Amino acid sequence: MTELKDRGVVSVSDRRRPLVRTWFGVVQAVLLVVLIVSGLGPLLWAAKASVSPSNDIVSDPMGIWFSPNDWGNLALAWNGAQIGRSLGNTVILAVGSTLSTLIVSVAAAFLLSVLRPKWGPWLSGAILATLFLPGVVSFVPLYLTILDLPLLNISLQDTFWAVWLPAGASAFNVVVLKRFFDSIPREYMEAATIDGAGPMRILTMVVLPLSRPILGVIVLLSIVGSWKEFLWPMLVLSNPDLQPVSVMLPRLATGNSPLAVQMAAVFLSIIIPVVLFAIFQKQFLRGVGTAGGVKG
Amino acid sequence: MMKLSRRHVLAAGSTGAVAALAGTAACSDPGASGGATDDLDPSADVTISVGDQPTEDKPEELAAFNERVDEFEAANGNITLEPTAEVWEAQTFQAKLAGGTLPTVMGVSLTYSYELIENGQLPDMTPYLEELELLDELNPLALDNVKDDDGNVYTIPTGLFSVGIAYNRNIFEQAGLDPDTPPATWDEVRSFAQQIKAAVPGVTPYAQMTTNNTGGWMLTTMTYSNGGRIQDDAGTESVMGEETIAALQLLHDMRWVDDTMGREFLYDQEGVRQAFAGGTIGMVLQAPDAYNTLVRDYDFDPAHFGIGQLPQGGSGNNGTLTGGTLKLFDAKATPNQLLAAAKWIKFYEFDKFYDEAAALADAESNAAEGNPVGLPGLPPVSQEIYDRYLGWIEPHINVPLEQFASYTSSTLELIAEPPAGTQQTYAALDPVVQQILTDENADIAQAVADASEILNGIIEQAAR
Amino acid sequence: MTKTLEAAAAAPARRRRKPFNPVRWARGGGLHAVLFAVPVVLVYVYFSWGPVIQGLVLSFQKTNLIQPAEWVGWGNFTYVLSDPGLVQASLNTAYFAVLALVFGFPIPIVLAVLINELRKYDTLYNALAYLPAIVPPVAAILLWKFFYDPDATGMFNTALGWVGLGPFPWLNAENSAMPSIVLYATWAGAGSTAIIYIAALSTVRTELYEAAEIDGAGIWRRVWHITLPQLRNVIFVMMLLQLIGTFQIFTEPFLFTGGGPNNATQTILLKIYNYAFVNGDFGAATALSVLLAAFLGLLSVVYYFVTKRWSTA
Repeated sequence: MTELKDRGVVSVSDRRRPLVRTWFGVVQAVLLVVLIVSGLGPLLWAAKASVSPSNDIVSDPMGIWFSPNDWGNLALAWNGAQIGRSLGNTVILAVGSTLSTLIVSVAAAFLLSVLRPKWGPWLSGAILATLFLPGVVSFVPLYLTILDLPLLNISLQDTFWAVWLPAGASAFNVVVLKRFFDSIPREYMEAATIDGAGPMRILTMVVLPLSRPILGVIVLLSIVGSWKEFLWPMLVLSNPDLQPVSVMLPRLATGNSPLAVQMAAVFLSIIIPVVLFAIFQKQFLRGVGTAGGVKG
Repeated sequence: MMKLSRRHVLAAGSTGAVAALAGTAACSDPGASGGATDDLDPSADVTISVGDQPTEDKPEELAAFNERVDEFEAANGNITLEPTAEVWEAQTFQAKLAGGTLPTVMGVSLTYSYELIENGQLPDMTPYLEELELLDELNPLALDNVKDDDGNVYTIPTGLFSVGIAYNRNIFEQAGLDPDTPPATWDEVRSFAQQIKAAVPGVTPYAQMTTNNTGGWMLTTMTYSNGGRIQDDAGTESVMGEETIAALQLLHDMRWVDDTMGREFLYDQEGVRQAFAGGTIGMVLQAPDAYNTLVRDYDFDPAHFGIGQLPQGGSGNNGTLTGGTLKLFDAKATPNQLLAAAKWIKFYEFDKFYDEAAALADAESNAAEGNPVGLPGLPPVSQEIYDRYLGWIEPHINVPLEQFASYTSSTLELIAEPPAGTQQTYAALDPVVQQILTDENADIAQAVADASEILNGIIEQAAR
Repeated sequence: MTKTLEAAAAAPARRRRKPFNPVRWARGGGLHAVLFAVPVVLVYVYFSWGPVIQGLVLSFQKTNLIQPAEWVGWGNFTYVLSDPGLVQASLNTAYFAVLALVFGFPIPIVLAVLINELRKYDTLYNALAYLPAIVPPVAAILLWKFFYDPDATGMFNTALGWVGLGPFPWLNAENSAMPSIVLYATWAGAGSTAIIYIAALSTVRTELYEAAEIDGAGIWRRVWHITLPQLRNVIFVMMLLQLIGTFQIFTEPFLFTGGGPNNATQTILLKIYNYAFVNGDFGAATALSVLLAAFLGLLSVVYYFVTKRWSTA
C-alpha cells in the first residue's frame, strides 16, 4: 500500500482547473457537514440527554439550552447497567469468537487446500452446504445443544463458550480462506517440505505469513459481526455478569429505568468505544485498510 | 382430546367488587407427579433456586430480598436457597422453559396458565399446598384460574389485577375536567379527550398500547368492556364481532376524526408508562400496579396519578379483563424441592397476611424505602384475611387511596383472558390495532374478519 | 483466481487403490490430516450439522421439549404456509433488500471515492465516517428510536421543521416504517463498508487513470470506466455479504417496531423468532426456517452462476 499518493481519479492538473477546484471545495465542505452531523450528532445528543432530567428529554429533545444538573444519571447507569463490565464482556466475546473462527477456519482451509486428504471433498461439500443456511434453521436445536452437549452431557449455558464455539462454524470464512490458500504457489510449500518441514511448520512458516491480509479481513468481519450480535447472547447468557452491552441495553430499556438513565447508559456505551477508537484510530484504520486492501 | 370448563363465579371483591375469575381446566398427565408424596420427606436436606431476585441497580430492594432469604433459611434449616435474578421475559421465556434453565420457582404472567397446565409444563402442586395448609386460605376465585377439572392445583396465583383507565389529574385540571371523575363510558373518554386537546396543547389526550402483544391485550379489554369476547369460553374458536368492531371504530374516530391520540402508535407497556410519567399523556388503559412503576421508577408526581374503573360501552355481559402473576414451579423438580419451593412462596408472599409482625415489618421497610404501601389490587387470599391485613398496615399506607376511589369502588364483572394460545392471540391482534391507527381508510370489519381467521388457525394449531 | 481454484481442485492425482497400510498412511500425512480435521469436524458436528439435522426433525414434530415429541407430518408446514402473514413478511424482506440495495449500497462507494480524492484531512473524514460503526448497534437503535419520535417535537421532525418539512410519522406509518429502518441501517453500515472500499481503491493502479486522462477521458468517465471495474471483486463480496445479512434482518425491526405497524416491518426472521420464542411453537419455527433455507439455497445457486459469468467475463 502506498502511503503517499500523488493522484487518484482527479489528477494534479485537474485540481488546478478553477471549475474542478470550486466543485471540489463544495463537495468537500458538504461531505464534512454531513459526516459531522451523522457521525458526531448522535453522540453529542446522547451526551446532552445523559445529564438532563427525563422529562426534559421527552418534552424538548432539540432544546439547545439545558441545565446539565443530572450528573447522577451517569452514576446510576454505570452501576445499574454495569456498562463497564458489559463492555468488557463484549470485548471478551468478540476476541473469543474471532479466535475460534480463525482456528477452525484456518484448520479447515489448510486441510482442504494443502493437505487434501482423500475424504477432503466430502468435508468440503458438507461445509459448503451450510454456507447459505440461515442461522435460524438451527437456532432452536443449537440452543438445545448448548444446554446439553450430546455425549459429553455438559451445559455451556452461561459460559462464554456458548458464544465462542458456534462462531467457529463459519463456512463463509472457510471458503474465502481456502480460495486464498489455493492461490499460494505450491513451490513454496514444496521447498519447505524438502527442507524437512512438517504440515504444522508449513502452516505457520509459509501459509499464514502469506495470508496476513485475508486473515485481517476475517478478523475484521468477525469482530464487527460479534459487536452486533444480540439475539444469541441474550439467549445463552442469562447471567447479567456475563452479558455484553448489546443485551444489557435493551434490558435496561424494557426494564423500569428512567429515560434519562437509559440515555446515560447509551451514552456511556458509545463514548467508551469512541474514545478508545480515537486513541487507537491510526492503528485501527490502517488495520482495516490492509484488511480491505485485499481484492476478494 | 380434552375438555375444558370455564366457570364464572361470583363473590365479593376487595372493595365489594363482584369478581368472576374463570377457571381453566386441563387434562394433564397424572403420572407425572401423582405418586410424588410417597417419597416426600419434609425434613430432608434440599436445595432450590428461586427467581425474581432484584438486580444490583436497585440495592435497597436487593438487600431486602436477601434478608428475607436469610430469614427463611434460618427458619428452615434443611432448605438452601439459591436466589437468581431470573425474571419472566416474554422474549426468551419459551426457550428457557424448553431448555429447563429456569429456577425451581419464579413468577410468570398469569396469561400462560392455560397453556402451561395443558402442556404439562407445570407440576401438580396440590399435595404440597395441602401439606402447607395453604390451599384453603388462597383466594378461591384466583385458584379457579389454575385448577383442572379434578380440582388439582398447579400453581399459586399472586399479584392479581384488573384493567382500569389511568389518567393524569394535572392534565384533567388544566382541561377543566374534574380530576375526581374519570370517564365511565367510552363516549366520555372521547369527549374528555376532545376537551383535553382543546385546552392542553402538546399532550396526547388518549394513548393506546399496540406493540409486543399489548395491542391485542388492550383490544381484548375493550372488547370485554363492550360486552364481547375474543374466544368462546372453551377456547375453541374466535367469537370476535360487533363489540370488537365498535372498539376499533372508536379508536379510528379518535385518531382520524378527533385527532386526540397523538402521533406515537407503537407504544408498549414500558413506552407508554414512560410517556405518561413524562406528563404527556392524558388517559391510558392501565392496571393500578402502574402506580408502582410510575412513582417509584419514573419519578412521577403521585398527586397527578388517578385511575378509574374501565370505561364501559356495552349493556350486559360487559366487564373488565383480569391478569396477574403465577408462580411457575419446575415440572422436573423433585417432590422435596417442590415442597421447599412452595414453603418459600408461602413465606415470601403470604406470611404477611397471617402474621401481624411480618405484615408490619414488610410495610415499614417498604414505606422507609419510599415504595408504595397499600396499593389497591385483587387479594391473593380470601377477603377477610386481606381486610385484617389492611387493618394491620393501615398506619403505613402511603398510597393516596382517594385517587383510586373510582377504581376500587368498581363493581364490574372480572373476565379472564382468552384461553387458547393467549399470547399468540394477543400477538395476532396487535397489527389490527396498529392498522386502524395508521391507516385512515382501513376496513375495520374486514380487519376483524381476517384476524378471526388467523385466530382460528392459532387455536387449531394450539389444540393439535 | 477462479482458474487457480479449479486447477487446484483437479490437482489431487487419481491414485490407484492400494490395500490400506496404517504406517504408510500416517507417513503420507494422513495422521496430520486427521489432526487438523478433528477441531473442524467437532465444531461443525456440534454447532452446525447436528443442529441443522435436529432442526429438520423438529419441523415434523409437535413438541414443547418437556413432553415427549409427537410426529405431525407436514402439519407444521401447512400451518406456516397458510399463515396469511407469511406473504407479507416475505414481501417485506424483499422490500428491505431492494431498498437497502438501491440506497444503502451505492452510498459507501460514493463516500469511498470522495474520501479517496481528498489530499488533506482524509484521516478526519475517515474517522468521522467510521464513528457510526463504533457505536454498539443496540445503543444506536435506542437513540434512533427516540430521534424518530413522530411528534412535531421529535428530534428529526424538529430539525426538518426548520426547513419547513414534516412532521413525518417515521416508524408510525405503514409506508414509512420500512424506509426509516433502511435509513438507519444505511447510516449504521455506510462508514465501515466505505473504509473497505477506500482500502481497495488504494490498490487501483494510478497508471490507469493517467492513461485514460491522456486519452481525454473526463473525471466522471474515469470513475465509471476505471474505478468501478477495478472495485468489482470487492463489490461482489460486499454485495454477497449484504444479501446474506438482508435475509437475516432481525435486530432492527425487533427493537424498532416489533414488526409493526400492521406488520409493515414484519420480516421472515422475526416471524420465525415469534413462532419459537413467543409462541413456544418450535415445530412451526423450524418448518419456516427450513423453507427459508431452501429458498436461500436456490438463491445461492443462482448467485453462484451469475457471478461466475461476471467474474470470468
